[in-house]
Amino acid sequence: MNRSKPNLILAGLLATAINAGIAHAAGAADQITVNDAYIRQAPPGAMATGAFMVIRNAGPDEVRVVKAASTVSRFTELHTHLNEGGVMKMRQVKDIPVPPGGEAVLKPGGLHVMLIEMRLSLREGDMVPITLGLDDGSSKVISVPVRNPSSSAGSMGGMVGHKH
Amino acid sequence: MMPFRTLTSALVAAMSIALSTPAASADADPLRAAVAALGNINGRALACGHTEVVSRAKAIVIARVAKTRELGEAFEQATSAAFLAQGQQKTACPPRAVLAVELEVAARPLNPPNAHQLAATPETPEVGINPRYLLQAANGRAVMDGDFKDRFQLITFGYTYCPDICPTTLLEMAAVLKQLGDDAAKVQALFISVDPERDTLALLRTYTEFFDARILGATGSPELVKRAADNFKVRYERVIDPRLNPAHYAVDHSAGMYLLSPGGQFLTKFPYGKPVGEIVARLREEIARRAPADGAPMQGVAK
Repeated sequence: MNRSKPNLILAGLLATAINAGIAHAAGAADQITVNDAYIRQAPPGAMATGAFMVIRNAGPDEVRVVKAASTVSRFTELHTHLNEGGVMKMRQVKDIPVPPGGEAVLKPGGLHVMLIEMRLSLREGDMVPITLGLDDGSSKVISVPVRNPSSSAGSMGGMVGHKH
Repeated sequence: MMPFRTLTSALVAAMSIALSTPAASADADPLRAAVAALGNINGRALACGHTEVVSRAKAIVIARVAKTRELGEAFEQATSAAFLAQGQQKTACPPRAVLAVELEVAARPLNPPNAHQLAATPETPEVGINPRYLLQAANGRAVMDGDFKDRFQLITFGYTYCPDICPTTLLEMAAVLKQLGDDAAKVQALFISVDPERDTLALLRTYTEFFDARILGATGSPELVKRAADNFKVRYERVIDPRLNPAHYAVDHSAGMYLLSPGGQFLTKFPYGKPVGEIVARLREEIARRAPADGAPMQGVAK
């Protein structure tokens, strides 16, 4: 495997994503910024992996993320984990609310965008477009880097909390 | 990939041969035979879930059997063989009381108990965890709780299709090993799959190596996995999403890590999300506590 060769499929997707990003519909999407997004590189053979990020809402009204889409997986869903007496149960959620002037934190063990039934094996450094659909019908396309969890393990803990 | 069931039968057959041979040839040595008899009862008690008998057998061995490699192996081998044989038999388990009596009879030829040692023997778990397991490691060998006499065991349960919790836990486990530095050699990290239908040994190996090659993957027949999970009070349950390929089910399971002492006593459970630093601190504390008085200086521990 040639690791340095860019993944052509993803490069194509990325170009689409950039175009889509420029042309995204106005609305709640304009109030939303997404920081610190990454997809955790899945171990070989894994069926699914998670995308994590911090979604901020600069506007005066609550914005709810109601869906997510990506071309790299057959299903792309909003999920969370419930800890029931030490048993972690992953469940789909219907939306992720982002309070006005606040943020929603998607992180391992909690809320996340689930990429299920991967169509291709992601490598570190790949950029994957993910579209977040919002409750007013507008959408936000973000380009999310794939990170090797081992190389990013050290920064993962600090990353979420260190923003002011 | 080779179906796990086929592999299991082959391995179990191979293990039975490997395990029964040395035990049979050891009968010439009465002490070794007595220890093997204890192991046999221990294995059956383990397979039948008679945890008090297992604890008692362990206490007897600790207090009354010389700590030699040969006797230790005789005990473990007899345990494994009896455990497997009992598991394969369709006959009912002997009642606990019967095994308890057999155990006391079998212990008679051994040295009389040293009262001081017996009192000092740590009794098994305060929280009802009986950390016994007998599984197959990803390297193809049998692996059981008693295998790591000189090492702590840091154990987590999960499955390789697990999208988030297991990778997070294994990343933390890898971070613990990394932060322990040289002391990591005193810890065996284990990932036990509760999904043996999908997790072949080969898959387990590539999976754990992705995080840290020192993490040993293990699983077994559904029955052995169930037994191990029950002993650790781990719960797991398949969750099938009707929209997805039915082979892509998820498994709800107890998260967190279990720490066993060298020799396999349950020490503590770290709940999911316990900071890596705290796990490392606890491990260093345990390692320091067990360090020989004339052993390595402790400066490294405080670092």
